[in-house]
Amino acid sequence: MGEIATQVLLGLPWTLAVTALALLIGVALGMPLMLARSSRWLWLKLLSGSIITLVRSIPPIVWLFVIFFGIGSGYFRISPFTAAVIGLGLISSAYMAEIYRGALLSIHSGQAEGAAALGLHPVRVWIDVIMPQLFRVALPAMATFAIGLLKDSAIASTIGVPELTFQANAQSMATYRGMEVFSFVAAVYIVISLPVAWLSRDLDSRMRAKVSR
Amino acid sequence: MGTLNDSTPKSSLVHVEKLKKSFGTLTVLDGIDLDVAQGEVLAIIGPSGSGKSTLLRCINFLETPDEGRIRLAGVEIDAGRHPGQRQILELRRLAGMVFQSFNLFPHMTVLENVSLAQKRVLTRSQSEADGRSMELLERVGLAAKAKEYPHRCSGGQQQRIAIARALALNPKVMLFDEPTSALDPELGLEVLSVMRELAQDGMTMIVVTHEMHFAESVSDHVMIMADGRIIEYGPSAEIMRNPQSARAQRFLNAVRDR
Repeated sequence: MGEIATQVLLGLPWTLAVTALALLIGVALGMPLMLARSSRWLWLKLLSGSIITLVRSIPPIVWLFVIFFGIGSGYFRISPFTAAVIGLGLISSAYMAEIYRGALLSIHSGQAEGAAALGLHPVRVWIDVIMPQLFRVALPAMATFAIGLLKDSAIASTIGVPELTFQANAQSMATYRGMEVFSFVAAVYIVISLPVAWLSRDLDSRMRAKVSR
Repeated sequence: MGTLNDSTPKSSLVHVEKLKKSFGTLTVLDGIDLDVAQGEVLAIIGPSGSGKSTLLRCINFLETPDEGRIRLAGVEIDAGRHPGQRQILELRRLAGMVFQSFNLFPHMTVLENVSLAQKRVLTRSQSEADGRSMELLERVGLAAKAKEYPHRCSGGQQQRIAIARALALNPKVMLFDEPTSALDPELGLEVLSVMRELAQDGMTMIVVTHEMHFAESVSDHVMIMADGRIIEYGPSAEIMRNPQSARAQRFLNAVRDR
């Protein structure tokens, strides 16, 4: 069992890397996508709205196949890891855009007005006043999404990223001890999800204590 | 509008000319002319929906007027000509605004609320800004709250902090949009007394309000609006005691009977 565990844990860095990078892409790209969605120009609204809907209505595994087998083999070579990060990053962006949008709606319009009346440049209004409040509101939903993404990263095994599930699958086939192997990998997923949940709950309650609305 | 010799357009600090604003088919401001002299306090009263808040919000372009001209100190903007951002920011820098709902930033301490625009707009250093903020908080009697977050303060205290925040840019004029309407009468009084002191110190103020006593006792002039027009304007005592138009008489009787 020690041998199996060691083998499976070789996948841990890959799982963490795919999750972290995809999340980072989502956190970054979700913002412009949300801004475009709430823009006053109709064409930009429609464009970003359709991107978000398109990305969200196709299953993640199909996205990975499109990117890896479709784009990856036809036009230029990309590694399974890159394909997984791009695919999951794209999906994260669409979800983060929706999370941000919900959070933005909860911020009172007087906040932007109060800042504008002080003569702050619109970009500064956004950075100093809106964003900090937006992230505060969005944080619990972002943590929930991050945990979901961690688990969804398992589908990267299907295109050959040597992450946790990929390693577990290989071990299960090599040793015929599927029950033990998959129970072990399940426990690993739980162990890495919990700190994320705790951290988010802790941050949330600390911010709430300081600034209740 | 009856112009008075002390508020001819030339000497006025705030000059508004033929201001028009519609929301869809609803005309909210139907050609407003207005002059406020340096050091003058003008109260704008009138029934809800008369356009008084919109007028105030047009003066610093929180609402973009469809037509008309606004001049504040040296800055003049023609609304019909799609004014640029730079001009609007300059105008806002000269006008401090206080809102009915306070609009303090909940994620910043009281001190940070008052210092923010000084750092960003006047590019003061942190210590310089904080020093000035403490002076202003002292002035509104809330220096002790500097390190607290706004939600730890009462409504009246929050509004006084909002006044300090607006004063931090050394505005030429202060715009008050129903500053006591969200407060119970007792807390409203502490805000009104800060405003009264400001007026005594010579601050130019335009106050949209339902506080008839304040309009009568503190302001120099009173303007009554109805349906997007000015129906009465003049020295406060005269207007409050002896309004000329039937519409103004009806409004004043209604608010007095309460």
